[in-house]
Amino acid sequence: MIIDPILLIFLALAVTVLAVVLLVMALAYAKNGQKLHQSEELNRHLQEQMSEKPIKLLENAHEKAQELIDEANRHANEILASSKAYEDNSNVALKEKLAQLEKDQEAVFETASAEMKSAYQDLLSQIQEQDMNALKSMTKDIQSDVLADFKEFRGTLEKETINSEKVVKEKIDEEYLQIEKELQDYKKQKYQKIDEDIYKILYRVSEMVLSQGITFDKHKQLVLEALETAKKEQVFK
Amino acid sequence: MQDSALFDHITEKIRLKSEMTAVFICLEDFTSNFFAPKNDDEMQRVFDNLPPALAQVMKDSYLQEPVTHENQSLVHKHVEDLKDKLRTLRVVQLTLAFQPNEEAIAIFSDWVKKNITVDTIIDLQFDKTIVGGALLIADGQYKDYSVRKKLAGRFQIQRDEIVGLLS
Repeated sequence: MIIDPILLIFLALAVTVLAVVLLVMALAYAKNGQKLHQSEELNRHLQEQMSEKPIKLLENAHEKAQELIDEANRHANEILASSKAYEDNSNVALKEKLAQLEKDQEAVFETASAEMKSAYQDLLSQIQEQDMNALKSMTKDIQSDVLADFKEFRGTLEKETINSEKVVKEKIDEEYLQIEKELQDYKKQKYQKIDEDIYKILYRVSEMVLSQGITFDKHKQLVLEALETAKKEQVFK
Repeated sequence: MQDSALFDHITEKIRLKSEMTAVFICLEDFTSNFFAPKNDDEMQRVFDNLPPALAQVMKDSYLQEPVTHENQSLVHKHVEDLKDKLRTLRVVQLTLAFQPNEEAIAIFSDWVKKNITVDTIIDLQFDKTIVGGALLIADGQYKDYSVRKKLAGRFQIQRDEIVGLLS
């Protein structure tokens, strides 16, 4: 088999290119590795520095804070001392002021009280007078209203009385007629009863008279007649 | 005399229910003598409470021959048969407005025995409110033949006329 020279060249070129690429890549790798090493060194260095610095910073801060606190305490004590003195002075002054104020207020209140009292009395008198006037006028109004109502009431009463009288009269007439009718019915019933009673009495008297009026022989005859009648009616089977 | 004829003879003489009751009492008294003997006088008076005619018939029937141990049972049976016969007598109840005497009772009894049967007796009751006539109860029937009823009927019929007279 014969290999094409072009192909061969191509292949050679390709291999060459590849080799070059590999070389470049290797160089790049080496370079990056070195950079990395350097970075790591730097990082370590920085970390060491950083670990040392905060501690120092903290220590400095602590010292400064302590100094500040001491200063503040000193200052506060001074203020307290001064305020204590001020307080005592203020108390005394305040007491004096209060006493003075109290006296002033007392005087003012007395004056105000007197004024209010006189004003109240004046007002009371005014109100009293007003009430009296109002009461007088109300009384007059009431009086006139009452008189008017009374007149009206009287008129109504008179009218109603007349009407009532009429109604009562009609009622009485009606009742009278009713009673009269009941009386008539009662009389009729009574007469009927009397008639009944007389009838019964008459009957009883007839019985008694007949009973005593029938002779012994008549009795016998009546019994025999009864027996004959019973025989005819076939009572005796 | 044979028993049935004797019984008929006895029942002919009984007019009223009260007489029948008296015969029963006398027969009881007579039969009690079998166990507690009476003397002759007492025996003769056993039937004296009955009406004379009836008393005589009873005496003739039972007192002619003395009662001995031998004929005692026979006599006792005879008496019981008579009692049974008396219980079968027919009764007519008659309510009257008067108390009848012997004569009236005899008249009524004769009529009843003649017109109904010979063994019919009368149960006499008294009620003067019926005024006259009689109330009759016989064979389960009730009849009012009293003067009271007639009077009531007359008063009812002529009521208006009577009331007119009153007013």
